[in-house]
Amino acid sequence: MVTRLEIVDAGLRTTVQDAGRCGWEHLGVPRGGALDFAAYRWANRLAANRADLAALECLLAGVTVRPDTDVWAGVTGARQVRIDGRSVPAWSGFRVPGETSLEIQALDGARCYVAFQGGIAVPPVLGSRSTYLPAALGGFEGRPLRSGDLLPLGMAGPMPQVEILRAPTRAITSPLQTRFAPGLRRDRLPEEALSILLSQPFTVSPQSNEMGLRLLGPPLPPGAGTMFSEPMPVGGIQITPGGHAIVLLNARGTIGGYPVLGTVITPDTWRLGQARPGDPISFAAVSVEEARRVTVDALQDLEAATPAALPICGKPGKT
Amino acid sequence: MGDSALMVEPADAGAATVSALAESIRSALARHRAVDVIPSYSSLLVRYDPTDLAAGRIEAIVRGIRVAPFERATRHFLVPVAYGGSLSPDLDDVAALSGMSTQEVIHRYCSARYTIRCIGFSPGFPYLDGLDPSLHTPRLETPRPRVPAGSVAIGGSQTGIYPFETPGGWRILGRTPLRLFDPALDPPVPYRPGDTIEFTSITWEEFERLSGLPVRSGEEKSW
Repeated sequence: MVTRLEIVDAGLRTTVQDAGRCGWEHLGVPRGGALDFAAYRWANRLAANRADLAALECLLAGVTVRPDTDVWAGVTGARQVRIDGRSVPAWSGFRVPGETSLEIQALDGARCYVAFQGGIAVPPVLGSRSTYLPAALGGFEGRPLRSGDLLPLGMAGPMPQVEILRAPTRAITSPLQTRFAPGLRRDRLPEEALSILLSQPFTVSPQSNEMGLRLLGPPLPPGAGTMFSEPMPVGGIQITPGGHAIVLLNARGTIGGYPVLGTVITPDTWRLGQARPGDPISFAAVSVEEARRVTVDALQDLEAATPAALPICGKPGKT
Repeated sequence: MGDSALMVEPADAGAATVSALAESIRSALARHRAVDVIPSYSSLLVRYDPTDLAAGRIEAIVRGIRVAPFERATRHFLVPVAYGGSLSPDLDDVAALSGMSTQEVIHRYCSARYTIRCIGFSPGFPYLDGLDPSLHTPRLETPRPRVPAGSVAIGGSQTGIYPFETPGGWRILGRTPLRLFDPALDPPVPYRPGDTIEFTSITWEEFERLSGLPVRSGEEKSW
């Protein structure tokens, strides 16, 4: 019998996400997937899953769900977790009895993750269950969840024989100092752009989303003239003609026409996924070598703590 | 470009070279995980997992690839576009900036055969070469938060089609009723860099009738 999960209160915007959609970016389909990759993987670990199963990602507000049979769940990124009104510790995994409600509130940052043993079993689209909203692709009918939706869960193994599973660390820290490697297109921007980005405070604009984090702050001098559109890296810091900086996140446009001043290191893009509107952001420059070293360490630590049965995002798509 | 991506700019940066090089790199790295190779006008981006592949290794592989002359047969796509009213919010501005009537703008826009340089930004968005120089028009100062799906638009010397509603700063001339991206099809986008596109003007009645049909290759109208 398939376990079904009823969405009792979908919150502000809850979507199904996984590790993302690899191998389709040459057709303009961004990888997407969970923005705070570490918190997403820990939610799966706490749900006794391999780390790449589909989970719920809730934006700015929580979610209330009700499974129709007993299920093991893992929650990261929220401080208030209740089962039928009874509190359970934050950042933990636990049993949710059938027909009881699991209520998640008070996010640590901008996004929390709720995983269930067996994973959310929506059909994969182009190799991933992630929701990509602009093209209504993947997830549950390609859209944010609504109250009353019924989601199928995958086949679960035996539940952990413990009362509770805990995550040893919290992955979210604030304020955010964001490390980036100055990039290839610095020469298309005035010198001052880099010094302003490094010395001045910025805050997160409410117009941010999973395509990009828009920054509010002192104007940055834009590049002169126009350039042909070129591929955009995730983490790229775009400077618009209006002098605004946008840090490109997982669901960015794969090709863009604004010069990129530098690229935020991968683990710091996960943390930017937790930045709320109004949060302060400051920047620090690192060398490409240091960026690679820090990222490899972070990915290896995460893989050791939250193993995936398959290489994350490992199946290349057909051309 | 950071810790998990490399930008490659081939010396001979023709569209055919960049696209063929991207395909060769994709094949060479097929056994590695988390690889995406995104070609554009004169450069391409290789995304990789730095725990699986070192940047130096990718550089060596890329340097070892010799791109054969572009031999793949190209295909042609005829794309119907309706103009006027709410479908063409920037047609009057483009006409004013180019000093032509809107009819002349539409005529010139539909007279060219465009070459697809790359696909991206959003799923299936074709970046097209071959825009009549008299129609080159600067991008909007402030991008629109929402460009309707199917909009055909001009950005500088480039033109393209927005397959989905996304933000965008290009000037919108008209709208195609056809569907350009379908994840249920293999491949989900029928055209590739090097293929050609031609626009043909249709009425609003035809627009209604063709709404949601898939784009197909061929020299003649498929509707």
